[in-house]
Amino acid sequence: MGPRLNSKTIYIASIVVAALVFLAEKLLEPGVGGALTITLAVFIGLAEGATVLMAGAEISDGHWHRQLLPGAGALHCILPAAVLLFLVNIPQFAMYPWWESHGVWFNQPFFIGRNVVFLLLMFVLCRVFMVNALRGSSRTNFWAVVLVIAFVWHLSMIGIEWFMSIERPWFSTLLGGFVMVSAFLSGICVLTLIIYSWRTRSDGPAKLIQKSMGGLVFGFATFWAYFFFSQLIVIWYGNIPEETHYLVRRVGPHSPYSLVSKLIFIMVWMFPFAVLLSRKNKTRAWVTSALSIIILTGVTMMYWLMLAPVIPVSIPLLVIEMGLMALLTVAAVRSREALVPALAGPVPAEEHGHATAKAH
Amino acid sequence: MERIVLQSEHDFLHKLEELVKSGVKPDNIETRTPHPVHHAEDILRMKPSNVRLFVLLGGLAGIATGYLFPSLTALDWPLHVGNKPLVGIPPYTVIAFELMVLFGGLSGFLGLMIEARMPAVRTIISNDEFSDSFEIYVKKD
Amino acid sequence: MEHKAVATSASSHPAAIARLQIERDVIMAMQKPGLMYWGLVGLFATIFAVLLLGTWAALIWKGIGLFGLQNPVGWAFDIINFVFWVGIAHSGTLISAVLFLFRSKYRSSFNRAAEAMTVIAVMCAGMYPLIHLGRGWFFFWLLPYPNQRLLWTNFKSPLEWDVFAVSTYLTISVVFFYVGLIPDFAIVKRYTRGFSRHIYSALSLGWVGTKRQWRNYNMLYSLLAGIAAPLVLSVHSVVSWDFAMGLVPGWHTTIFAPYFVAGAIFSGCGMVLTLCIPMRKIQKLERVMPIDHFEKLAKTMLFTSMIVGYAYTIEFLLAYYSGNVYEFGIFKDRATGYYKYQYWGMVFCNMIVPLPLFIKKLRRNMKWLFITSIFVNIGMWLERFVIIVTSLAHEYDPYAWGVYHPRWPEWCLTIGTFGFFFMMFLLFCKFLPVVAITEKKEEVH
Repeated sequence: MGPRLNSKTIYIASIVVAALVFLAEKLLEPGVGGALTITLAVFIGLAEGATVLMAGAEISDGHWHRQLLPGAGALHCILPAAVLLFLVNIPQFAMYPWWESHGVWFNQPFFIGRNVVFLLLMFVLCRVFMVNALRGSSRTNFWAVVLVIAFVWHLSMIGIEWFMSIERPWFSTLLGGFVMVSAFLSGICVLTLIIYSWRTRSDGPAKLIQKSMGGLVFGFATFWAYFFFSQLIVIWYGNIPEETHYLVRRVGPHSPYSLVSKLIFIMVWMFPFAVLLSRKNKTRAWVTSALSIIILTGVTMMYWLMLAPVIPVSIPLLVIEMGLMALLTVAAVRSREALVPALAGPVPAEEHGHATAKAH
Repeated sequence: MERIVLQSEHDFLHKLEELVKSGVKPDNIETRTPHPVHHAEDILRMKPSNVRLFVLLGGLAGIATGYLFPSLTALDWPLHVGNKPLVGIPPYTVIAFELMVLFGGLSGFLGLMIEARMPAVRTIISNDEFSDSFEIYVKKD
Repeated sequence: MEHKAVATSASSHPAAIARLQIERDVIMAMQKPGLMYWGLVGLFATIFAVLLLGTWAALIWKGIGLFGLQNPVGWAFDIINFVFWVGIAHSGTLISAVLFLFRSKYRSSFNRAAEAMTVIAVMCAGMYPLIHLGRGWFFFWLLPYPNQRLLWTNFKSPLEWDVFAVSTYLTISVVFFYVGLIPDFAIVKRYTRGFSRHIYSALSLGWVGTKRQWRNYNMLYSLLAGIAAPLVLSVHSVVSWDFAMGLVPGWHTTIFAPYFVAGAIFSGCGMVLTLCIPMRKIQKLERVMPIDHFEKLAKTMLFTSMIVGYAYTIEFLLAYYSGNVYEFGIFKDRATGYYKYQYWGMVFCNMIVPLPLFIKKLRRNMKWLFITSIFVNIGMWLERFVIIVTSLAHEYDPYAWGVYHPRWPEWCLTIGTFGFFFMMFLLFCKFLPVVAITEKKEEVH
């Protein structure tokens, strides 16, 4: 499913995707923004999230993740496409209340510039980390640390600038972290799906790794719920109108989105939690994969819910754009050996300069 | 009752496999080890422990208590405090979570005592010791 | 306690020799203590008795007006120390429970000491709510018990959540600590005679290591670790919500829960290092506590320091973003106002001092780690001071702005709890095995 690309054609494919999205935006529902922002947040999140999961495992001296490196290996290659799509999205930024003002931080050229620069920086960092990790070089830990720090700031920036500023001056100091955790969770889910698609391959990751993804999904979905609840309870309890209006519009019992918000909470946490409580289910690859799809859908709906009460978001556009990016992602994963040459060889069992750890 | 004393985990597992293969029923084999040997549980075909059930039931009781008890007491004497609703899900979720952990943990401990037949008074009184070697006791039918 | 090395069975098998060596190394640390040890225990006990118990008695006799608390700062050292000690306790549970779940190899060096630290620190923390109640003997009013006046507690109050959270945490920590000790008590029993032997025998509940016992024990231990990990998150989140639920600028912010949890782990790592580095040297435990493990702990400390740094930065930036004059006002006041030394001291100790830990050589240097850990302990105490005191001193109405000066009861209580903590930890070192012997044995093959 999906074509195979190489390091040149991926850029052509990215341009094609960007052009198609541009046309779709122009022709289908002009003047209705938000869909592309959501698409970008979801795909940047899952690409960087999966790579950072590998970085985190590298820093904590895990060895289980080495078999997953090929899976996460080429995901960062969709980030250049994300840059193009970000540029296509520029007309839609008029949806932000600060777009016309000239703040020190929130002004048009600086906003566009820093987001493009940061995206490109993340692409480079992900790539450098991946190549180092695949070659088992001794600098891997260094790049892993740099990548994790950059990821935290990048996703916080996306959360604050793309989603929080739409209801300026409402703010939640945890929203950046919340979006970051959502991205990390998406990364785990997409990695689960990739591994599941390889379950029949002889060189696919060991059954053990397939089983451990269940535990990760369980844990991080709960962590997501903890960040969700932390924000909810502080705002609910304080009951200050300048804070509560944001939640009242989205989660409150009288809001039109009340049912959707409950559904999101159930899809991203309650249902996966209940299902994955059982030890058996944590080890069943098809269960974790089905839950991953549900969680990814829920996370997309969450981004939608952040924007929807303020600006009309076009659902057909969202579906088209998500579909196109999904195709690009699948193509990137399938073409990983061409896109990341370091993937062509076998993944080293351990890193140079690290003592072999006893298998426990 | 045959008693075999071994000094390493490897020898211990090897001997266990030998015994089971030679037809000794796992139920007739008792072991004493200085640390848990997970593979031995597979060889002896042991069923998973019931302590899980204790913890699960305790946890569920905790969640139920954590929501019901504050809700019912708040409705019993409806005192509006701080402009919060009498029965609010976010604050009672905190209580429910803590009680889930408390009841779950304590039930689990009770479960360990019951399932592992502890305190083993006979062992406390006698000079039976927790030794450092791997011992296998084979009961002859 | 008499110490007699008892060989269980003459064996030349390398695995058996290694296991017995572990036993001996740890039991040797429990040898009959000398004058120096008892001197130290006596010193800390005196500090505890005079400074803590004495001050508490004075507070009960004369009332809590002895404190330096005034309008607007009605909450200071008591709650600062409460949060400080609960935070330290959390790291112990984290090291023990979370590292168990991740099957971390460096857990076994610290987990016993960490669990002991948890239990003792929660006891220290628990004293403060009682002290600052004034009429501490009425503490049972916080518990929901049926009474003649048909009164129930206000379950919606964060202070009530605190009661449930901290009691649960104390109970589960003690259970977790004790369950881990059961096999080790059975080992210590082998090395003791007389009255001590009876005590250890009773405490070990007749443990002999049968398959039935191990199977159920493992299951309970995993489950306890599994519930202790979210418990750590929830308890310190509840403690942070003591503040976040209020409408005070600088308190009412959503990031408090994960920020406090990260801060707790950070301060706890600092305290574990402060305790274990000297303990390792004094009790000659270098063989069972390798430097690799300390390096891992240092990395955790660095990681949590960066999360805390992120929280400081984001709070400040978003306060500016919000345009809210009160919110940004408190952050300006923290950096430039009356308490600016405490604020910048906190930033220095928590954000700057841990940075050199990026260098591997420094991570593996015990002296450097020890000094860093002292700074971390001070910095995290300052953080709680800054959050609580500056926010209360500088709320909405300029007429209500004030300044707080601690008086002698506050200082005495603070030092007194440190006396209690170190006294209990020293007692732990001599009467309980400081390293989990059974777990260490599992690593021998």
